[in-house]
Amino acid sequence: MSSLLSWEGIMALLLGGLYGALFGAIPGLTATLAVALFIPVAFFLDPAVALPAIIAISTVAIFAGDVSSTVARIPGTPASAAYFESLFRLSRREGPLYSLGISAIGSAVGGMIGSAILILMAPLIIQVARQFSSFEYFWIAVLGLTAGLFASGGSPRKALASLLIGLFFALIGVDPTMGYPRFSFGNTQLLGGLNYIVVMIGLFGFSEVLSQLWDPGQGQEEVKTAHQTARMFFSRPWLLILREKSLVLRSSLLGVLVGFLPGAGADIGSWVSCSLERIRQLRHGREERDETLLLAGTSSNNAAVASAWIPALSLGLPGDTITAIVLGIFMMKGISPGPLLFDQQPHLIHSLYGTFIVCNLVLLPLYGYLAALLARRLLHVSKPVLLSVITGLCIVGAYAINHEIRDVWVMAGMGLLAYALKRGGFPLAQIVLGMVLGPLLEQNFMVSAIKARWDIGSFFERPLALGLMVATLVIIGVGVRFTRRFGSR
Amino acid sequence: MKANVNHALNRIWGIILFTWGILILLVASRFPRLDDHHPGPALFPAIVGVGFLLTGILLYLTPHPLGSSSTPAEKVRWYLGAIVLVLCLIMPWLTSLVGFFVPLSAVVVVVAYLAGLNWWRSLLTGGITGAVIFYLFTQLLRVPL
Repeated sequence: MSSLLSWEGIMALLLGGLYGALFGAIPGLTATLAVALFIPVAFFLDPAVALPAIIAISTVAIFAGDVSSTVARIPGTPASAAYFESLFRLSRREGPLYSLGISAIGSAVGGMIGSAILILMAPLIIQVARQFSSFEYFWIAVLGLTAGLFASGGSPRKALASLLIGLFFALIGVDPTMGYPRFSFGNTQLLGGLNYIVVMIGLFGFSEVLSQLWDPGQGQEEVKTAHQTARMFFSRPWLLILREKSLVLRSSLLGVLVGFLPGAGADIGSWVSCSLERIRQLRHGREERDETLLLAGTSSNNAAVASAWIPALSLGLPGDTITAIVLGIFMMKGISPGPLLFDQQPHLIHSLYGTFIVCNLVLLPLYGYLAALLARRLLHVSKPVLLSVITGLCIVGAYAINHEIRDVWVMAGMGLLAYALKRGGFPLAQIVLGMVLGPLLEQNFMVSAIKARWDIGSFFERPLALGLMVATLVIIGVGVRFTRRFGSR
Repeated sequence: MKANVNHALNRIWGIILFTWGILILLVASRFPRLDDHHPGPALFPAIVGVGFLLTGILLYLTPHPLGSSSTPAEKVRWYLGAIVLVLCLIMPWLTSLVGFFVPLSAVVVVVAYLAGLNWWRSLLTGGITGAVIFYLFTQLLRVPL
């Protein structure tokens, strides 16, 4: 803890948070890329300083993706694709300070709950994680995809079509069982598949440029500019959180439950949280409330950031791509994660715990407020300038990931597809969900089926797997029932 | 009137999805099997293909419009977006000739002009935007381009 309070520790947190905010806010740049580029710096730093910097980068970057949703309608991560439309609408209706206030404060509260569980219950939770096999991972993926059907508020049939499009994109490349190339048609560049970040940039960013060029009058909402004070950012979101305590707690716990599963990631938690909240709104016959949808997604999102560290610290298994990089840094520094880490390096563990608390209590509100002020300015930028900046960021963002100019073509093609799908009333976020969960679904199904010698009954034998299947069926049943009763928007 | 247009759009999309499902099943039928009794790489493409078939049928047969489709503006200037798409298509060739910065700025200038700025403001906007983005990525963030 003393290293955290030193000048190096404080600078690591502040600069790491700023670096993460910059990366998260720019479409095409991700928290994972930010951490990966930080590795050469981390190599020369003491772990007690490097690891807090990485936590600050990832915590703030996950939130900062909401800035691009607010300004340019481009979600920063697949998880934020679950609620980015609500964030965009709310920022137009109530102003960016309120919408980003909910995002930042909701993320901070969710992150604190995730951190509390990390600090208090890591060894207990890891016992649960050990029970998860390929069967449970398969059903987790099915649950996540099912949640995507009802998370958008539109027609579940069109959401299903979007999910299938995303699942199809995930099939392009080499299959996980035999390494057989699928849908590459002899093109070696397609063997690696489509990068979901490039697809996201095209679906949301470039399609918006095309929409504004082809339908300039559409979607020109007036942005609320009056009464944009600090109170809108700090007080009103707090009042909302106090009113919706059970929602925040439920969403954060969902985020933690999914976040600690190695490889599952925050995406599923965010989608399931938003889906449950939308079903709850339908059940009570309410109009869709963007505030609560946003709160459900952001609190789940950031709760998962902390819980992804549980398997990394306790078992040496990465909870997500960022903790995978952190484990590499551990190896570089000769640190062995596992149960002995807690006994042999308590100062490091305490430093990490302290960092999570400081990031959620201080950095998120601080950088969140600065980001909201910036977003308020950017929303007044003229449309031609904004479109040209978005275009430039889309092209560079798509190219920078793999340094493949083909990704610019993919981005442009996705933009065109997304424009056509939007005209047809299809939701786009489910495409990203299908791309992200498709490989998890297929790989775990094939591993499970081969392990069980193709005995399909084995998918229903394990208690956890059965529980997840029941949860999936409940979401389908409730979702279909209330969608039929109240219709879609 | 709008309801009829939406319903027609749903039917068109239903046909597109159904056809796409057929194509996926045709391609997947050529993938190898794991062994004589069990599927391999073809399994999930087949599931996705069948999903497209069923979704296409559902959309086609739906008696009422689903969700909100947007109707086109009175006069859509298709060439605007088409120009930007063509520029993205020829970017590899331009990049190999003059590097990344010039084609990037050119696309940004064109978008600014097509979006409504006059030509000299577009040049200024595009030039500055391209330079700032290029500098941000290559110098500040150390992402090579």
